[in-house]
Amino acid sequence: MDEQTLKELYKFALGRGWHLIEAKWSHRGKASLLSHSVNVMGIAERLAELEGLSEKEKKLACLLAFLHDIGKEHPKFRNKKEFTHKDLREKLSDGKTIEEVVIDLLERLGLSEDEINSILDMLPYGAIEDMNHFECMLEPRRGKDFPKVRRIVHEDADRLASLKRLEDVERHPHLESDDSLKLTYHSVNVVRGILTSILHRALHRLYEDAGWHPIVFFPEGTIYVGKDVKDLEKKFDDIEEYIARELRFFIHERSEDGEVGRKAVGVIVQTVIPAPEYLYISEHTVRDFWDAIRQQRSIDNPNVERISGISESEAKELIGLYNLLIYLTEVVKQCTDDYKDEIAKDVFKKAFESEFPNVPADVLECIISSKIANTKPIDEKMRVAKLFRNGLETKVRERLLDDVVSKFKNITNELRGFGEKYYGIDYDGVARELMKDISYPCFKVETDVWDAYIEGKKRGTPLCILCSNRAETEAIASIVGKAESFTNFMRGGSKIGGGNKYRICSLCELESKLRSLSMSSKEYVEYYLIPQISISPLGMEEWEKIIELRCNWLFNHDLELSDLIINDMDRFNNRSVDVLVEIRENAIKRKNVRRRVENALKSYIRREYGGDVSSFLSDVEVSSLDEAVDKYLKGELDITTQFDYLTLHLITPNYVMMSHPKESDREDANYLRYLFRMLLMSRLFGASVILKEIQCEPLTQKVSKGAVYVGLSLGLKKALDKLGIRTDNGWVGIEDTDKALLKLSAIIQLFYIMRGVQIDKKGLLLEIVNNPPGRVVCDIVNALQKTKKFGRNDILKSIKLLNLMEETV
Amino acid sequence: MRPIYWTKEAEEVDREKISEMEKKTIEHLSDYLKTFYPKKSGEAEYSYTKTSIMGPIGKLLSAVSSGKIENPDALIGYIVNIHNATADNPLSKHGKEHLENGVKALLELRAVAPKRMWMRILREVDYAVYKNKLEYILGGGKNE
Repeated sequence: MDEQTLKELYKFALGRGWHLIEAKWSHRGKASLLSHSVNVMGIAERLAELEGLSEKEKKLACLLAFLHDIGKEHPKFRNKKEFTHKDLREKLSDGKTIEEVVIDLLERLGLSEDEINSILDMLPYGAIEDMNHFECMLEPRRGKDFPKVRRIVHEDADRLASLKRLEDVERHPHLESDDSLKLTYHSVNVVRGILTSILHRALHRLYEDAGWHPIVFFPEGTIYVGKDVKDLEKKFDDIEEYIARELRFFIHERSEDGEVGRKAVGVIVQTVIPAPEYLYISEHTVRDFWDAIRQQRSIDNPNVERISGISESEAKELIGLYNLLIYLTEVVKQCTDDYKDEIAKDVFKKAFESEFPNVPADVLECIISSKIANTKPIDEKMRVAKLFRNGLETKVRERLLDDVVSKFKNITNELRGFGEKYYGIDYDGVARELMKDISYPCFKVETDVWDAYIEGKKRGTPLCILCSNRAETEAIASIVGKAESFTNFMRGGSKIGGGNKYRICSLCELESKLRSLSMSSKEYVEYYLIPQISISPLGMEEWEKIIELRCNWLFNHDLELSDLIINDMDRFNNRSVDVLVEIRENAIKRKNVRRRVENALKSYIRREYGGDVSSFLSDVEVSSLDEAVDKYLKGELDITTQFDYLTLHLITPNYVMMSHPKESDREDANYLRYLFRMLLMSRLFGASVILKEIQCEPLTQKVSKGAVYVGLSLGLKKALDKLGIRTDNGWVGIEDTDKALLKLSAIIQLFYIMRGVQIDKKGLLLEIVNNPPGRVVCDIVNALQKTKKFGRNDILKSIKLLNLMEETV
Repeated sequence: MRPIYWTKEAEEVDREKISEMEKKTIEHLSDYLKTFYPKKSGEAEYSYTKTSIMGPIGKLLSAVSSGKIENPDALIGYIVNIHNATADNPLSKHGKEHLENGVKALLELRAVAPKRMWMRILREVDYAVYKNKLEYILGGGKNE
């Protein structure tokens, strides 16, 4: 499908409100007409490719697939009533029948009369009668028949896109249009976020290597189409290897970011390397580890009050050097498996001697015997540090520590292999554990939970409170959130701490560790973007295009975005990529945005380049900082700064995980703001967005039952009721997306107007909703009178916004 | 364990009817207020405080909320008196009609609305009338 046609089709569908019509609804999921049509089109396109249809047939299949349910626009269907072909002859609100609308569109797309007639003949319109019985529909036949196209669209693509569960594939495990093509699937029972995403990727790769093509994606699995079952069965033997490889790839990719190595660093008075698994991953992590140590206060500017007899600067230098030796000693201890590995010891000795040829053997002996870490008297410490310093080649005080750190990096790199062996992540072990999450195809693995179920649960077997696997470790409060009084696993109202701990399994623990690699803030909000029931390869390509734009920073501009929505909601009735590009172009011209990006880049340069702007500019191949800002805002710079705000963690076709730092307002007021962002994302991605309340908890809402899930916060529910936004078990419906977006935009605009007149208090967003509208205006007028400026425009604008909030759309 | 108490609403409230009546009241009172142009003393500028914008309706609502006057005729007389004392223009026939209908609707509303909802309703009427009047003024009403 060429870009121009796709653009035209999106414009057509959004203009007619397809994103607000529920095409599929049941307790197993809801999907909008737009997302269903795009899915059927995507699946039909892929099947047409696989079955070797001509370009013309492929185009007909795509258009037929996109338009196959157009009859669902009919008001009868919108009111959840069945409609027949007779109803379709009525004129709609725009004075045209549905057939006339289709002809208009197809003519606009440049199709010939014959092609248009063929499509019209094959269209079932989504009417209840004759759904899949082409022969009954053709009276009289106007164009040429394309039986293969018909079968692909109506019997295969529509069927696959309408599946509510992966298991339903088993009922017809082959395609109707081509008997030789079979269907199979993989599914997992727990959706954990990063780990499951890795698992999905590994399985996709395995199936693709065996010659199978992924065709429909669900959050918990994927349906594939292919021929050779035997080859696939053989490949299953390598599943552990595939998962381990994918996990290794993920961690190595993250390790280049500059944050992973830092996570391994502890403070000098406690465990100096508390997370060794992050240190030995790659040369990048080793570099980041030592760079982070160099910036520690105990190295850069240590406390020297207890030292007398020498100058303060010399004492600082010596203590800094000594503390560096403590870190090195811990590295050596870990890499030699507590000094037991003689080969590692020899490697270290050689590396140390070649880096520091003039340092006396005494120092080396101190490191190997671990004396350094256990020496108490300060005089002894000073003696060792002096010995070390005297053996160094660099005598210039400013460069001394930097030189030593760079040599320690080399030594650690020499030892890295041993460190990974003893303290690295056990990729194969994790892969084995992760295999337990796969529910289809089943693999023979030892499952403790299963055994316990069959043989009777052993008394007191602790289970992971997040996923019910066998618990192995104790969790810290931040992993499971602060809602401890609302779980059955702990005494009501008791606080986590001391002996009172949650217990979690090793996979949930690893998941939390992997998250800590990507999240800079401890307090973060987490969203999941899941397909509306399922998504086709084409829908996924659209997601990818949005993500490739790298304009996460846009989501931090609530004021501008809400302003755009209020001024012209129709602007969003275009293909999302184009909408985002347009918004981005406007934002790039804004001075305050540019200034903020410049500051973010400067702090990035300070952190990564030690303030050396010119080397940064030459690295990113631009001549000035202003150009770098331009490049950054256009998403052409491959760096992440604080300005990015929203982090997209892992993208598989099955779901996307997103997070951003928590807002500092009251919880329910924050929820209103999050809801606005989620609705916007749902609108742009054509998917459902879920707010996860407990961090690290597996995704429980795997089925999309609306546009956005915000949970069941009482304060928020009251506010949404007042706004006339219906919620069903925490879900905002697909039909309400635009209405809710408009109303929330009005609230956000009012919030900023009030902030502008110095009304700044916690929970302001909620007050705007809960107070009578006149009270809000009264507050603004009073505040304006205090400032002696009667802002007539502000008042009029706020009255308009309040009217918008009250309106029942 | 503490016993669980279930509460059941005994008083039947027709919320839709109340909200309809509330809207009607707001409409009438706002329409009356559009005919009220406050007196201006000398060179002084118009004030935009809530009291000055609400004019006689502010007085009406506080009289109703406190139960100071309950007779509809007495209430209308009370407001007409305030109108004549504070307005630049005499009370028009059109204005009087709206005032009478407004007061009548307000008293009907009080009779229908449950006691626990009454203060909230009154607050809503108060601020809604304020908002409508302010919109009228800023939207180019004669009063500006």
